Amino acid sequence: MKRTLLLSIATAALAIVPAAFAETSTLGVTVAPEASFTTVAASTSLSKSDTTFGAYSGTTTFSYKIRSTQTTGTGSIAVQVSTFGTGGPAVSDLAYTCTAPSSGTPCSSSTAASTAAATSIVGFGADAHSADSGDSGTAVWTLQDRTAIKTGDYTSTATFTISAT
Amino acid sequence: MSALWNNLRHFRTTLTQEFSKHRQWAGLILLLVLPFEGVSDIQTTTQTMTADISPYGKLSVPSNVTLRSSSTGFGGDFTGNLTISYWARTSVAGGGTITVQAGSEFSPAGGPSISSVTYLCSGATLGAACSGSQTLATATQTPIVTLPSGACTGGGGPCSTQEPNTVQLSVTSPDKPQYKTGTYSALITFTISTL
Repeated sequence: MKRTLLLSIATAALAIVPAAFAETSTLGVTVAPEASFTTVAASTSLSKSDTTFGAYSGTTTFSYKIRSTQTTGTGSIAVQVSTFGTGGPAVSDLAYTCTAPSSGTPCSSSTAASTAAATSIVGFGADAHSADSGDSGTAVWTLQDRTAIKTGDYTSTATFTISAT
Repeated sequence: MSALWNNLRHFRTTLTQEFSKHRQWAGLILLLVLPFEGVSDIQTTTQTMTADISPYGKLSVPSNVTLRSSSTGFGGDFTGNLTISYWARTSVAGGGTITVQAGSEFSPAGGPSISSVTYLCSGATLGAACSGSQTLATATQTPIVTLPSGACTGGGGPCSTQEPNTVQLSVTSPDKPQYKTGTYSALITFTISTL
């Protein structure tokens, strides 16, 4: 009788004990250096208030995200321009100054624009990180007004490049 | 009447003599007969056979799940997919769950956080896959599949036709500029519980 009771209790216990089984997996992710522009002004107008051959000026605002490699990484934002066209301003008369947040180092002084090569606007060192929502910077353009320039509208395409390693 | 009586007495005498003569043989015959009588005896009894079919659960997952970005320049999240295979048997009054829990934060520090990892469940061949986006956690088990009562894997009929049963997980982690470059990993535990 006692044995039967014990068996009954054991059977009842088996019936209500939940079964559980577990297995593990390693979740892995590799984070690489990355960089991108989130916005760059589609166009920048150069204008002037001084009508007596004062310089034209304008500001291009851009936003970017960047992450460079720890220890050895670098990065940059650079710009290269095309010519204004026949009779127009010379690219050699075009220059810019820069601003950027703490994630990068803006160009230190007025920098001449170039059609031959991209010139630096912002430099980044190792382990650079923008804000998650992105950082903003500017290129403030200055174009000399020369008497030789024919009247009319002229355009130049400025190509901004951001990179990170 | 007297003649009849004499005949009877003669028969008795003869029978007694014959019995005395064959007493030893009679004993032998008796001994030989007894065993045959034992073999031919028939007894019937019953026995109750009981099988306790307990709730059961087992699962199989890939040993590694790698999250990758489909684009550069923060154009996409880190994503990865995995298939969980499982076998389950739940009681009539029971049910079950498949859950996942991270054992710790990603290691080393500086990368994604577990709380930023989300997942979607789809295509459960037994039970109901989790609904909507779920967030992985280190402190709690979060759902993947809810198993109904009386559920069982394989064989068809009252059980599923698939064996093993499967469910797909699509895991996502955001790609943020603040993450330091490098490779990060975290151990996650999948658990199936049945009742």
